[in-house]
Amino acid sequence: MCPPAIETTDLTKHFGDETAVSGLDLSVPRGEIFGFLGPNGAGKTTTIRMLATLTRPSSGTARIAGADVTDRQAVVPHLGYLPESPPLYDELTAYEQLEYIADLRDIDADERIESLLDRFALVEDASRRIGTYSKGMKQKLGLIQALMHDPDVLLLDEPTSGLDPRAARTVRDLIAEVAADETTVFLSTHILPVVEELADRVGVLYDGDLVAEGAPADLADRLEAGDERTLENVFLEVTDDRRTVDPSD
Amino acid sequence: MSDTTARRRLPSRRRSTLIARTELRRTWRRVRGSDRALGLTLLGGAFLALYSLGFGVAGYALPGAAGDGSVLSLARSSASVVVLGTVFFVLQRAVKKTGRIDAEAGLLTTVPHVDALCGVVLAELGRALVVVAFPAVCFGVGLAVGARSPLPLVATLAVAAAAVTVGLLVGYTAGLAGKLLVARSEFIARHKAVLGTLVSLVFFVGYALVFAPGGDDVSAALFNALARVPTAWLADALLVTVPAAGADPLRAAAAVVGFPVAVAGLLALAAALAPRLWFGDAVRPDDSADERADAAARDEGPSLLGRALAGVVSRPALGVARKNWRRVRRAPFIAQYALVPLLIPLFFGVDGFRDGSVSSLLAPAVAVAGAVSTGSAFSLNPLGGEAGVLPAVLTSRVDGRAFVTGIALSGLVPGLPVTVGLTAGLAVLASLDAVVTLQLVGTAVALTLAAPGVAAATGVVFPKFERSDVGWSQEAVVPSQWAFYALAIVLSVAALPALLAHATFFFLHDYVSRPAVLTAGLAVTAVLAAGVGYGGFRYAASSVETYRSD
Repeated sequence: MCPPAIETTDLTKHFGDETAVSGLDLSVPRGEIFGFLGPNGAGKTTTIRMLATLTRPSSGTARIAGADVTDRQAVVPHLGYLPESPPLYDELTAYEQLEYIADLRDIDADERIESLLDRFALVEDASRRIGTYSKGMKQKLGLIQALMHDPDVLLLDEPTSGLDPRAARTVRDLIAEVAADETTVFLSTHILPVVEELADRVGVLYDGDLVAEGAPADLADRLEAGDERTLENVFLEVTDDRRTVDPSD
Repeated sequence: MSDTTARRRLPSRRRSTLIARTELRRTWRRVRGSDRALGLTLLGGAFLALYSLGFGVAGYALPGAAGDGSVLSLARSSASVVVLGTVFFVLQRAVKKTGRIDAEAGLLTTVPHVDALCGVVLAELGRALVVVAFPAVCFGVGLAVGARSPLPLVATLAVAAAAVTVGLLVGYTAGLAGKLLVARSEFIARHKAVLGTLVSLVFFVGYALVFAPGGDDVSAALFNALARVPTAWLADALLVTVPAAGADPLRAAAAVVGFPVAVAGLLALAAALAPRLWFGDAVRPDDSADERADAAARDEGPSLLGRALAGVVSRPALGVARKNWRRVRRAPFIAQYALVPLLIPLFFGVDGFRDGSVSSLLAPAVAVAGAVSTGSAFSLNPLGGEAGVLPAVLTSRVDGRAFVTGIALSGLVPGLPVTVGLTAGLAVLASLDAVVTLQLVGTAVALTLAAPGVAAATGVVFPKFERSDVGWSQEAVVPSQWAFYALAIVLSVAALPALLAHATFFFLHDYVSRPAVLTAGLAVTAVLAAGVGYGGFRYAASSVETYRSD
């Protein structure tokens, strides 16, 4: 049996006295789109960075496609990662940037690069230096970079941030498409309609704790009578200190 | 123009001082909030206090020596030096930082731009006065005691404030003009990275010509010239209060009348430039030429060097090197700091160049400095140097050895031939014999080959991720100074056996031949260099591979 694409057990991260993530237990099967929600400072980016092998967990374990995140060389072949600020060199052109990452991965990805550039309407601009790109263009290029080696697991931190509606639509379509090809997508975003549209399951992190988890429709069903059954209302309810909601309902 | 409009164009004292107070409060909190900044400020303050006591003594002695005409000339030059020094520092700050206001959009949509301008200038004046206040008070008190009159103290404080104000306004206005030029000239905007690097080099050469050993004639001529420019009149305005000093009352009067005129004129000029910079649209350089060049380079495929190296190093390592060369070719300021170690021995060699001779110490100094430059260029900050792209590098499949090989290659390809060529060339110009020349070339090769490994290791021990302003509105991640010092120390220690062999020979020449001593020294240096180079390489590779940002 295939291991889950992402699996965390009691995953915890402390920064000094602060607990950024507290005992996170997650299991995301292959091909699922998992929406990871939470207010600013909830610990979403720290969780993603632990999954991406960039930050060491304080305790607990996390596995990507069966590989422990403390073993970077075992994890990275399976992983595509797009941080909130796309990791790009302003001085290079898009082609040079993508060729550089292909060189680092030691893969021949010319055809896939061309196809993804075409998909994101970046072919015309691919010989321009990245420093001249708009935020949306950088975001699209960062996504192509994360996807170029056809990863099993794609970690996306605010992938539609700064994109115009058309580009955001393209990203959403692409996420759905890669998930259909059995790529698991771990999607952290503030844009709830994106999660509502795409995610098979949603987890809401609040102050380092996973306070709600389930399919968007199931979570909405847990709302009290009278509330409009939307993901937004679920989010507001489980992340509001003033209200008492049992997330395990 | 109506009276109302005219009034609107005058700055509001209340708003300007409010902005200045807020800026100064922010500066103080920044200093207080950082142990390093606070430590440096206190250290600077201690040195300043020490120097200030010297100023006090000079002030006290001045009336007694005033009969000598050279004292007046010295005072006039010094007044100009204070103005020029202020211009230099404020100009740099204006170009790098203060020429644009922090939270510009918020401030400029809240108050008229003249209020913002005056606020920023007042804040800068406050910072400058903090620096000159103590030396000025010490000098003024000394002068007053020496002249047995309180007037020189008052005059010193007034003249010091006037000199700093004029220097500040000239520097700030020139900074605004410089930034405006970059914002409006497509040529400068397009080539500002290269131009900035050239300006830095020109400045260094100019500095070396004036201040390097043997530059006394140039600096004396410059100092004499500074006694004859209008800023020197400020010294007359001060010394007119010391009857024996022989100050020219006419020049003193010109300074007193000229000061408010200069301030008003400079402020008006700054007020005219500031809105053009703050509200104007910056040019958008036409990148089509770059695009065509980049596309052509891509079509041509790998260069001859790339093809040659492809058979020797792995594809990821070559990818790292190629990326580094591209970045530095397009934005040289990223690595311009690496030239500094190589320029230091040349600074001290300027004296010899003037009279056509080359010191025999220059070749060994360049052998060490060239190696330090080679290590500094790309390897001194393996993690931080990747800036925001580090996550993509770490989550690619590149292993630590390939990555460090790539950054080492980036520095070695240009650094090794330059260091070896300069060392050999300077040895020949210094008429060193063939054995010594060969030994120095061998030392240069051993140290330069070791440098990237040592640099990478010191860079992972002292990483730096924060961007710094490197001038001309450019920011880059400059490696940690501690990493640089560690690299320089390790390479210097490794170089010692080879360099000391030259001295040792004088004590052993009855027992062993010169080539034997020099070869033995080189062999020990080579072994040391290989050890620290390889050890550093392995340590850096392992650190990169296992790096986590916790």
